[in-house]
Amino acid sequence: MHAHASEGIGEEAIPLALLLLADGRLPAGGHAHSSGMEQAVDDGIVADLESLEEVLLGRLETVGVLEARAAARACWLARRYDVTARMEAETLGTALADLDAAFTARLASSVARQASRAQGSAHARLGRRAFPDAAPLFDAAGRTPHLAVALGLLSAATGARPGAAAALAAYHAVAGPASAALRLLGLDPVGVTATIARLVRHAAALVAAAPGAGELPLLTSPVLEILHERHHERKERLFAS
Amino acid sequence: MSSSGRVRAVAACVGGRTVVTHLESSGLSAARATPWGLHLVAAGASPLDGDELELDVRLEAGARLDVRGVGAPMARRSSRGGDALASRMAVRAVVAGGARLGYLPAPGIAAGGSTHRCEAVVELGAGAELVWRDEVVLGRFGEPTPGTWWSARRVVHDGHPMLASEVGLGPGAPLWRNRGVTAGARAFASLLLVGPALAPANGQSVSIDGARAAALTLEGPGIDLVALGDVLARCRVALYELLRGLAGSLPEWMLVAGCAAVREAA
Repeated sequence: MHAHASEGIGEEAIPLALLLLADGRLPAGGHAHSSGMEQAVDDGIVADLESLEEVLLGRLETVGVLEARAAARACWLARRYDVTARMEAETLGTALADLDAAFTARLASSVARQASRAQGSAHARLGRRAFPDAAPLFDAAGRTPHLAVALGLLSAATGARPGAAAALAAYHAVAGPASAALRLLGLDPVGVTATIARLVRHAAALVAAAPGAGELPLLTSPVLEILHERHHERKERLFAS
Repeated sequence: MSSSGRVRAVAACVGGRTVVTHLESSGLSAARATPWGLHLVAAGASPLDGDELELDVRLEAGARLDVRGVGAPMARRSSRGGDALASRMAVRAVVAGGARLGYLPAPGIAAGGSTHRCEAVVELGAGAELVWRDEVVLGRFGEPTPGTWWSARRVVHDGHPMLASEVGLGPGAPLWRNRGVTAGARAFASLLLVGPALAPANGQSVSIDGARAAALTLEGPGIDLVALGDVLARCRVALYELLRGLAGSLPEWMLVAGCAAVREAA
């Protein structure tokens, strides 16, 4: 199914199509979500580049690592189905349903779950159009996959390996809220980019060995969960989450 | 030398009354069955580094049991010196459909230099009812440098994962001071409510001087109330306010049990 052009970067071959998925201009609705950042700004938790980096680091090491591991697992499952044809579509569907349930139990905030599924659905719709050969993957994931699962399946559709899927999900976990903070606080865009670059280097070490199997991490961020709920209660908001 | 302790209890509904049909305890732990529930007693000392404690509770269909602690479990560092090992408490609860468990241990206290890990695994049958309290206070009164407390909860309902969550508080938890994770909180309180009559509620949040809290609506018939703050009393006030806001969504027994759980003496 795959014959995508790859460019060797170091020892890792990164499919060029994977870059498309990390592009902020990807029309998958990501710009509408601040993932708690709008509330963090209003509550004074994030006020400048320094506090932004701290909050994004906390996010990366909790929900970011969770999303990275879930994306790696979805990619790993998709490659077993897709590349080696060792897995039946029904088995893939069952395995993705188990992954969905395990991931859902780790997002205690229903607001966070809704935001994750809204973005995941948009990515899956985009995936069906952009990678028609991979449609069976998205069929197996159901109508409203979590964002992390959709990113894992999209990564597999580009021919990427689970490690690259994990890196993509970790990047999404920081780049989206960072961009929201940039707009909300009018921060220096180059400074925000430098912040993202530092966090991405840190993320690379965190997710380098993201295994496709094993239990998903449990570590949660109560502050972020509370921010999600507070944001949802507001009457006026610029971002959906 | 580290020690261990274990309590196993089984409760069943016999002729409309709950009877503790099996109770065994060994080592550091002891338990007494009273008309008011099962009381855990630390027979030896509170957990020192390396200690392993185990609690296994099983409720058969129709049984109703409250599990309470007598005195706060305090994790301490032994005076043996060297690198402290973590003390560990493993709690496993199996609650059949139609049974009701109130797990209401005293708040855990992480004294300076200690590291404690609490891991709870709860298996609920369809229709099981649960009030599960989990509270942590960092440091003894006036202690400037507290210990570290990790608390993990894994809850399965009718065969599906319902909640899987861990918090780490104290200087040994790398994200403790991170303002986007736990913001250096010295107290954490949570109250997990599960039951078939629980109406789906919108999430809510409250912010009270020194504490912030939210009601998190889980997938399945459960709500997790979580609070972070400087002191436990404020966290409890925040949880009480959340319960008042949820009054219309909770069955009466659950509202009463939840309010009692956050108002009794800590």
